[in-house]
Amino acid sequence: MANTNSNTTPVYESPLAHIDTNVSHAAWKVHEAKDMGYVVVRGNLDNAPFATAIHKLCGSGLPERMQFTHADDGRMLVWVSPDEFLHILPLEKKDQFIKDATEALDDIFSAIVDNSGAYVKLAVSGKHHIDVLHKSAYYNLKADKFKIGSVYSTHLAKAPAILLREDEQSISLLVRFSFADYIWRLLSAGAKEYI
Amino acid sequence: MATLKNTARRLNSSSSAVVNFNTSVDFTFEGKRYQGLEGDSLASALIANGVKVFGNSYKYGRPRGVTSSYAEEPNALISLESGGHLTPNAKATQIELYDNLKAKSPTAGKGFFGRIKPLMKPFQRFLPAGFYYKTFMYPASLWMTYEKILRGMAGISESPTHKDLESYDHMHQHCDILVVGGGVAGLQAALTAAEQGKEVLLVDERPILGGLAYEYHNDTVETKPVLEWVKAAIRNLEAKDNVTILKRTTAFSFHDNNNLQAVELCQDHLPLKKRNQNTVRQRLHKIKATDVVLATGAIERPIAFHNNDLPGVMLASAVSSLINRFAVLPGQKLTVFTNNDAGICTALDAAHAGASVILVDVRKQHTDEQRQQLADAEVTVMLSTAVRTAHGKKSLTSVTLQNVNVLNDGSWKLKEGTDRDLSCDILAVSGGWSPVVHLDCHTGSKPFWSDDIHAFMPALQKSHRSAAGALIGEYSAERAAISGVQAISHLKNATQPDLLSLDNMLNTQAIYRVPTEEGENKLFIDLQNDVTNADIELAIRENYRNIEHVKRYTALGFGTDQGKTGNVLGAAITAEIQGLPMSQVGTTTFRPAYTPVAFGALAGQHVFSLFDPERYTPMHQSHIKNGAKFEEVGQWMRPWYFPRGTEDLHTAVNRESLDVRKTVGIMDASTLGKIDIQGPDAREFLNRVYTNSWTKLAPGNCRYGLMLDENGMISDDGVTACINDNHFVMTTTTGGAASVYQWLELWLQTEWPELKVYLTSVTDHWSTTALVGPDSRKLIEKMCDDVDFSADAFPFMAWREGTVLGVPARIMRISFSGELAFEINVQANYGRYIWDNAMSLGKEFDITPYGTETMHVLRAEKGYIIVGQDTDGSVSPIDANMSWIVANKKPFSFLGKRSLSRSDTTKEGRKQLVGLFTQDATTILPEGCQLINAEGETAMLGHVTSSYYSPIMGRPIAMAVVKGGLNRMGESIVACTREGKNIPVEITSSVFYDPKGERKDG
Repeated sequence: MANTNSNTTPVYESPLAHIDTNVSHAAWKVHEAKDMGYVVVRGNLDNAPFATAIHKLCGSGLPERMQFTHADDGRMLVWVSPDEFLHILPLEKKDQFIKDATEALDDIFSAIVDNSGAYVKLAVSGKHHIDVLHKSAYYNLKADKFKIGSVYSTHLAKAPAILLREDEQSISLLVRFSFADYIWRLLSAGAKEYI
Repeated sequence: MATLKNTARRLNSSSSAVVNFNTSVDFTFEGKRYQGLEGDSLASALIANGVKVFGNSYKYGRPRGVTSSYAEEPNALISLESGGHLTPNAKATQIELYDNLKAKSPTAGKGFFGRIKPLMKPFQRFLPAGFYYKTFMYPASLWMTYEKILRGMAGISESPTHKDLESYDHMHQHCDILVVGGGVAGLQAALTAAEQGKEVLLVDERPILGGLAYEYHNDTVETKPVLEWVKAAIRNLEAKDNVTILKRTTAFSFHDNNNLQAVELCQDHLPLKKRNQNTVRQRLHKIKATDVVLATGAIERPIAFHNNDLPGVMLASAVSSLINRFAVLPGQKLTVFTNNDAGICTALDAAHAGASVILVDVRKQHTDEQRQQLADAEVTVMLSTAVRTAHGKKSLTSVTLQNVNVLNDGSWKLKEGTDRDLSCDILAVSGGWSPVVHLDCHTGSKPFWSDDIHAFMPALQKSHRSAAGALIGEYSAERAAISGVQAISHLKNATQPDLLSLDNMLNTQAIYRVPTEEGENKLFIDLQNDVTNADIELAIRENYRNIEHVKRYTALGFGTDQGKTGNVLGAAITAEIQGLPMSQVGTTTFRPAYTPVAFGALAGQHVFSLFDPERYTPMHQSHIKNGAKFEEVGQWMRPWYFPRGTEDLHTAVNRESLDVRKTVGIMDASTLGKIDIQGPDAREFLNRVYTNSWTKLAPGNCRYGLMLDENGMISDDGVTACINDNHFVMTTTTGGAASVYQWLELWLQTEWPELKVYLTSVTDHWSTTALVGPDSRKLIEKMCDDVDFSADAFPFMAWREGTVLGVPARIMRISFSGELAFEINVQANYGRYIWDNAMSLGKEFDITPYGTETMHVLRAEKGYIIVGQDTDGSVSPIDANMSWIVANKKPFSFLGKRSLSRSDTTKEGRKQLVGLFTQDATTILPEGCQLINAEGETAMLGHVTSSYYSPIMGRPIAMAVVKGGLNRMGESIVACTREGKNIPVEITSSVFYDPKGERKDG
């Protein structure tokens, strides 16, 4: 084996690294949650050992259809489809979670898939954040319809996105890495008239 | 256009006017400067300035003026502004006046053919409906020439040719109750719903809510003057948090499940210089409503008589609108011709505004109250009288009246010998009212004819939909308001209003056309398309009897107004001629859009770079920095080539190709689809979806797989790595990622639910940096020290887990070039870091970044196929000379297997993948060019699928599918280019370079 270049420190880059995502206007604010891990959890909730193990591993109750749950430490478990969930957790905890989950579910038909590179999480808020999103979102995102704890796997215009309602003031968007630039430009164009 | 003797005047004041008497607005029409008032429409401002003629008619070039009050206008079409702000065929009645507005008449006889059209008057009798169809059929080759001339003569607005300088967007709206129409009924419905706590969206096409309350302001609601009631209702609605009001917003289409589209004119009313560049000109609202109340009102219709198209002949509602809404008295000597009570309102309006008014009413009598009102206003009344013809050259100067006999059964006729002329400058006509049933019909409902109110009524057959106001025949403000309340309770109770027992509130006497004397044949039914009474008669004589056929024969109801004023007349005349009841004739089909919608609004924000998503890899910014030229592959922006200096594509690709084969190249392969496959049946699943066997692939190894469709034809390919016995990662083609994922899920969920397998798309998670070339091992050894990269320890088609520059990675030793190659897969967030450092560390090996074009050359030199380029859905693995990958002995079948033994799939002479060398060794064959046996023959043998210049071989190479090609090695055939050039080629193996595969180990 040859000597490697050991002087370099890995550089972690968001798909929006080339853009100043720090937008803070009364009408439209964006906050990018960096260094998050995203792990896909597949399995049958009717399978009690699986459900018990996931509850324990993720630290939160299992979400109902189109809902997500929070663990005490802020980790989230998001319903994606009847047998698919997305566990969102700090990036540094991701590898340990995958290791623990893989071991715990060794004999159970399930899948644990690291998809941490696939998403960027943006929280949008401000007086007109619903108006901006409604230009490209098909669901009714008003707070009384899109209630806290709800999740929509949907599209923003022509790109897939997962929308989460964590509080009444903002909506979180999980945007795929490769579509992040498109969605950023789409939302920025929609916000222009309000800022 | 012609400004004739100005008999119009601006009124000094008006309690109902929406214009601001203190603010004047400058504008130009046909290059001439005018002044109007703030709040004017272009039509009202021009009429106040004495402009009567707005253009010439479509077919006959007859002068035409304003006919109606709003969206139903057939005549007064305008080219508004120019260049990047041009709006073609806007209606003068709908254009809100703004400072420095510039308008032209597109129908004013522009160009040579437009100018000669009026001169053809003597020949117009030879131009009946169907003239063009019959005359210009032959020779067919000349149609394009005819079309140019006829198009020039028609004289509608030119199409915009400049880039639109304004922007548009879409907005999704959600509400409990959508109310369409902001007249009294709509306002009341919105109020009622809002007070019940519903989330209400109210849309109205006009800039000011109230519907026709301004026109008929003497009406009352709850004993209040209607305008007072309207203003209070608006204040009330605006104060409610659960109500959204969109003015200048036309609901133009109604789709199933209460999905509607409405276009909001956000800035069309503002001077060009005052428009905000940060917001849109128009916005398309996509509305999803739980319930819908249609309160779209009704449109007045004319009565047909000879010369009823003369400027100065208007609908009575248009005259009322001019007087009451815009404070413009359009003439001094005004005749009202009516068959219903609405005409009386207009006569009173005009008289109170100071005009000399004569009311011509076909009916026998008025009520005592009406008689008194008319007498008080000094209106001369002529009952049982009709206008038989209008006179004037450029505009109306007089009319001929004739007494009528109306019989008890409703039929009527003119009394002979009673005709006399009457001087007038405006003729206001009211032939009854037609409810705006359009939206209700968009979802398939057919309107029905009511003999009670002489109008087509909405069927209201769909659930979660109700209606109110004039749309359901409730014409008075009082009754409209009541119907607004009822509409909400009907929604709540899932009931509908009783439309079969309506009063004839306006006391309409059904007459549609006035009989003519000899030579009086210009009874216009559809003013925009110059469709006359005679045209409809001709259509029926020629056996076009169905109203849809009458429409298409005559053009009745075509154009930008879609026959809003003329369609009912056309149907009535069709009924009269054939002796049919109106209910049997029916209407033509109402389709979206209710009024024209700009293409810009339909496109919204989805234009230019937002037209389609551009997907970027993690290394995209580095590629830009390295000067990459990009090509779009399945939405991904992939580096095409990396030119240095002034290099063109071919020079760059030649350099890149040689560098890869001689030292090391680097390529971004992140775009390949990646599917994580987990579960105890993962191997079995792979066995079923791929042609080859996956039973024995050990962890740490990779295998190439070929996927077939049900017909046994190649649909995708890629390399799959075995992570462990229950875990694999499949790669797909870049463009096929989504469809392959869906294909696999389809089989898994519908046909093989017994298989315990989970699929997860991980395309975005991984970035892939491919190091390719003889020096790639040296380079990766500089990047990773926890993996043994020797050929023995890390053989071809193996993968290893390691740490590359501090980042956990899966490294695959696979190759799409035939060279030694390592693909470094890391989490996407580290992709750029790995790429940039590989570029830096690779400098000592003269590393070369390369793009898709070089990748294509390298793979073609090795004869590797690209699915979708060398295959087209009709190529089996056997056709592709890839029988080696078909494992027929697998215990369970694989997708497409059965089709491989079908007679057509196994027959002799199928097109097979081969290589081609041009015999001159210099000509690069065009991809797609056809192959024949010999010059002069026409039977096609196949076509060229891939063709490149191979720098390493110093000559062009090509891949092609040729009938029976695998048995014709060494034979000469001919390639035919589109330009007709014949190029001799030799059939050869499709593996051009390193046929023994000796280079893959470096």
